[in-house]
Amino acid sequence: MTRQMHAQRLSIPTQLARHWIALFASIFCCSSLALAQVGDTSNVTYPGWKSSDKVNPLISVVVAYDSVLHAYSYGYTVANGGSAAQSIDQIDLDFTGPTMAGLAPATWDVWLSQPIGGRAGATFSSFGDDYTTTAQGLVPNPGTDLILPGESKSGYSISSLYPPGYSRSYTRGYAAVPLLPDSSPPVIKPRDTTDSQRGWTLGPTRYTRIITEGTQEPTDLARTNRFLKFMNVDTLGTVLRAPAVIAVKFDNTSGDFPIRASFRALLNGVDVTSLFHPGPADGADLVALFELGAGKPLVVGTNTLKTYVTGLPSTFGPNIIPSPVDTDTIIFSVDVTP
Amino acid sequence: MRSLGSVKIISLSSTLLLTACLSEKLSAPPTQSIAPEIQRRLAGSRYTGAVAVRSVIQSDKGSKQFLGESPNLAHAAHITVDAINGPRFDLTSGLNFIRPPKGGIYTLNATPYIDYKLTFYCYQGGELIGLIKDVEVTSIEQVSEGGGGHLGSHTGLKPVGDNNPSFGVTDGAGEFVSRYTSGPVSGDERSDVSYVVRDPTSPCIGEAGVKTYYNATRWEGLVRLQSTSTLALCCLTSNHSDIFYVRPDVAAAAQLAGDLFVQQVPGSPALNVSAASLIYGGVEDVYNNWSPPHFEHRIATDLDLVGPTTRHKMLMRIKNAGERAHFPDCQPESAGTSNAHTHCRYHLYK
Repeated sequence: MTRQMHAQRLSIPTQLARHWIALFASIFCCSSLALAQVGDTSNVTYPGWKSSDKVNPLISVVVAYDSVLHAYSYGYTVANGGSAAQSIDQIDLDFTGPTMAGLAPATWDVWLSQPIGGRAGATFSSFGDDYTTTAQGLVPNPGTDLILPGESKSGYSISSLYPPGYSRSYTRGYAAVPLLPDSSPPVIKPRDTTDSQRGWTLGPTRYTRIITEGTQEPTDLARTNRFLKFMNVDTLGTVLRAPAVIAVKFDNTSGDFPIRASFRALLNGVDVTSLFHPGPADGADLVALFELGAGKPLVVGTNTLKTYVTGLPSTFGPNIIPSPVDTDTIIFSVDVTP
Repeated sequence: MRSLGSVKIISLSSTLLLTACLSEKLSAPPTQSIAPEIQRRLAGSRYTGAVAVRSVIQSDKGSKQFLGESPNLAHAAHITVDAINGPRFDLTSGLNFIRPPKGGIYTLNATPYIDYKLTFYCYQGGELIGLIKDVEVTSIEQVSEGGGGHLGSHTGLKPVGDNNPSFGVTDGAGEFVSRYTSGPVSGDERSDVSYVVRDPTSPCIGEAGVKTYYNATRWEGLVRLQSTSTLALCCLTSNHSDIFYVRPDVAAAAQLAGDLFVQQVPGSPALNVSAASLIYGGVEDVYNNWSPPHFEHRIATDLDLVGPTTRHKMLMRIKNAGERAHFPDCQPESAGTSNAHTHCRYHLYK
């Protein structure tokens, strides 16, 4: 992997830049040293092993939607808090959506893992290519441009046809762990996903499950309730991180015809219809991100989302209203606890 | 003058490698030739699919004649398959253990064993006279019969299993109880049982001979990895011709690792497998000397993976692909050498 790695990726043509709609720019995933460390290591038998979780990552992401390419870009900035004892050399993201391309800063590599049966996602890494001989054995050299404590780095990005959803992150630091000789018997050590600072960010997501058809409002026909379905929230009780992600799907199984252009959404009384963006047919039809902040409708705690979709029934008759409406009320909570 | 009868050894023979044994109790009359029947019934038995140890039917050479034996005497022995303390089916492993190896089946250097008993019957003129209660087993010699994928010349004798005790006398029930402990090397073996009949009440008294039965040390149910567009078999680093056998689920994970590896970077070549396991597992002695350095690669859950370069970044990229393909652990090995590779293990040894 060379410096050119980051330039090999498919680049979004600059002439289309104007079609990008920045969905979201915010600090999202806040891992801290108090969060999800490697745990008990008293049973580790690996000679010379040291944990790689002594980092303090803060991952922020900008999600943008290109209305011409119908594609999303995810641009990450990774900061390493000043209290960290190690420099960051690896960020693993687990998400379910296929990716088209990835970019990484110079001297970093990006490896994309498609959802074909394993853990899908992306890995950004900066490893050295050589070793230093020590009394404990060969120690891999660090990459040349790690994220030092107190510093941040941007330029990590991926593109996908799939809209955002919550992505698990695993951030590791350079620990100078010596490699074992071939004659060494197997040893016990934590897995890398355990030996890391774990958190959450956003990544391409293929939503596959219908959680609820929403509420049956008294003014709606029963049959219209299925016009709009929700793929990651229930009508009541769902707790989301900030930013809150809402994924919906229009009915495509009953034979009725929901009119997608009629979709409207109010979040705490504010029209947020324009924040919903489309996804491929094998996932959510529309996904929106709602972030906290001044002037924004999302709040910490209880939030109410009301959606409206009208449509045409598959069969008409004298007693069928031509334009039935599916009204749904989704009450969810937003929790900002790390 | 007392006519001498012939002695048949009824033995429980079993299969090994991480041990197992036949669990069926057969009740055919002793004069019938039932070895083929046993083979047929066991061939399509419960051991298909998951990794399982297949039992190898004991059979005597058939060529040995006993003193005073009628030429038309049937030699096939009545085979009782009775395990001491009964067989136990391990639902987790899919293996049929008499007793599990010490520490569990994934214990490195496990020495699985099986307890068995030899029972002697006296025949005279083709007729079963009865159980011989007092037989001295003068020795049980375990002899290698090859197999296990160990081709070509090797240094030293192939290690075989151990019978303990390997000599003694039958107990009050007329049984000689012993324990076979397998060695670390897979393959076929035979047990040569030397005996002398001491029972003064038996027409077979004084008869001495050697009976042979066959057993095997093997981990069965393995499949051979296949080369595909994303996973290639190459860079053989062993003196054995074929070391690309794995468990079926490991084969699926290996292919997934190859697919992920190729997709990581546009235009990537295939991922290479340079070592897995021998056809029946066991020690994969890369220097043809029945010994490590491979401590693992014995139960078909380990892979050595190689990329287009041997640099550290490539080893870490392979590690990433392997662990995303659900290998619990992948680590660089032989780093800094031309043999640098990433070892992925599907099971973590205790």
